[in-house]
Amino acid sequence: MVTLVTSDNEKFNAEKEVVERSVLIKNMLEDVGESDQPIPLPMFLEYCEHHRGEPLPAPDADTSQDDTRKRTTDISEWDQKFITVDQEMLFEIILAANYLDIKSLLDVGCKTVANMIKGKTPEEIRKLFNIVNDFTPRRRCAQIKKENEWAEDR
Amino acid sequence: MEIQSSRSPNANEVLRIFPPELLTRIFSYCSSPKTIAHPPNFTQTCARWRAIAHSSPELWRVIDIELPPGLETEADSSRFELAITDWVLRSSDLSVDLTVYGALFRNTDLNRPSEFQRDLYAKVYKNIVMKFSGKWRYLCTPYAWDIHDFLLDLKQLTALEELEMSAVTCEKPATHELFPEAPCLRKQSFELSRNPSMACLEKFIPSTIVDLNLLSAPGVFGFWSDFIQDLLKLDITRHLTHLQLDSLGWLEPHHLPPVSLPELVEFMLKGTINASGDLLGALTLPSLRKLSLETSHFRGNGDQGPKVGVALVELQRKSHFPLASLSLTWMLEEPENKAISLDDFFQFLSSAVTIERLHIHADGRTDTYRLMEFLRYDEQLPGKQILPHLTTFSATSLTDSEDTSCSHFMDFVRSRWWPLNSAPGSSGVDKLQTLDILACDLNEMTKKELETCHDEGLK
Repeated sequence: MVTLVTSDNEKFNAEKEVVERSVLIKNMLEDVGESDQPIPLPMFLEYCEHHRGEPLPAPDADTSQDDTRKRTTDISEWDQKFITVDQEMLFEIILAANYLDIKSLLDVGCKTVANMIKGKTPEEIRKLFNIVNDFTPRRRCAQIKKENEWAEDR
Repeated sequence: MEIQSSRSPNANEVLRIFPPELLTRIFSYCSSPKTIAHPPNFTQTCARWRAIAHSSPELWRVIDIELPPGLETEADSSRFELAITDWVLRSSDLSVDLTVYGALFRNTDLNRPSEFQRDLYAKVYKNIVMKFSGKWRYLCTPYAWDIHDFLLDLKQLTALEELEMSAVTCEKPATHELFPEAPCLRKQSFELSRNPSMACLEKFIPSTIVDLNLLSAPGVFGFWSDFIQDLLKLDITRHLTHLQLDSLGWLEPHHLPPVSLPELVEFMLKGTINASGDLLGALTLPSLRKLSLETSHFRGNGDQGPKVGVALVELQRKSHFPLASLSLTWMLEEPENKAISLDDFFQFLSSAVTIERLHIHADGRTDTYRLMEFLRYDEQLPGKQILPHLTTFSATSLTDSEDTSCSHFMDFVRSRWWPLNSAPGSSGVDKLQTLDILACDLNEMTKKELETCHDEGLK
């Protein structure tokens, strides 16, 4: 068993097999060996527990030749429910999954944001994420107009 | 050892500090940019997103080109070419999949483009293909026959793995001797809308090809027997692992000389009954693992009779192939238009013990009772221990609604599948893993029992 501690000092016990879905924690555990020192925990235990036993992605899964050409945004029902959180939490989960190197959770988060972007106009995306339109009028005229010259719905 | 999680004041703040690689990952899950007719929305949201997207080569690995409505002058074509060039350059040193749609495939304007517009367009896409000839992993190009000096003028297609070409006409044979150097090219697909001649085609098939797909118009505009004979004479067919012929068009029986394709693993064949029977009867396929057969829907013209079944039995007898997957579409019809009689089919299956996946696409007239009764496994009867390794069965448009006893379909299922944690229904048979039923007219009792099986774990 490994003891994990959240940033507000709540403690959880979890099996090594579960927390090792995080490549970062797996490496840390390997580095320190057997230790009674608790590991502070961001929100990921529930996810790892649910996916316990599933095969971990190959280390080079991201670099396969056709990866980006074949990606889909399908998310399983459980994952979808898990990731139904407010925007701030969603972004934090993505950052944490990236930091902890949990590829499957990172993918769920990124797919969720991608699904929010899909089919929206740039203005709708800005509004959704509170992003400032920082294109200067001149730059926008020159670049965006050029890029849209061949658009079907220009 | 500590992993701290910090809380940011708001979502926008968190998003603002997203590292570029995370944004690129998100963008890669958005609708991938494919055509300059639809610039991706994330490149037009803010300057940071745009810069990150434009400097992420993996986002720019696919491009489709089609004739834009605004292409009317030489100046337009220069700007169009520049826009495509910019796109391809963003892919940096990664390979790119390029699809060029024909000038008549413009989907935004029903008015056909003028001859001048078509010439402008052809010039642009030829320039692009030539300029980046070392970048294309997949290349789909139209009307290659009209311009067959074009691809052959290329010196190298170093990254090309897959080539797809369409040709409207095929009037004169290619005069060039050599296909450009394409050491990685393994898969080729030709879409040929009229009866082509092999003299046109053979110069376009280099010796590296292992996966060949030949598609023609259906019916009598399909491939004729002399084309197929010439194809089978080519040395490259001896090294093919995948072959698709869609479709054979002759109606009268023809004799084809016997030929062996020793490395062929997957064979997809569509054609008239006589043509399919002629070809299957001439082949020996010792490595075949996957076979898909489909009848062109003909009525009359002498193209009937269970000739494919006879050829299939003969093919198996000669080849002794380790067939794992068999798909039949419109082959088992009754009564007047069957290509395979049930007797021949049963004889074939009785010796094809390695089959794991079986798909039958009927059109409602197949004798479902006889078929399912035959496929039922019975450990007590040696003659009924058919297809012991069948794990996937799929059926389209079978009907059992007129069978009041309604047991034969479920007898088949129960003989090969049993609920989790219960004893096997039969010994010596692999458990059915997947049952796919599509557009089948099954009676209520069968449907209800299938639902129960589904609840008990049958996929």
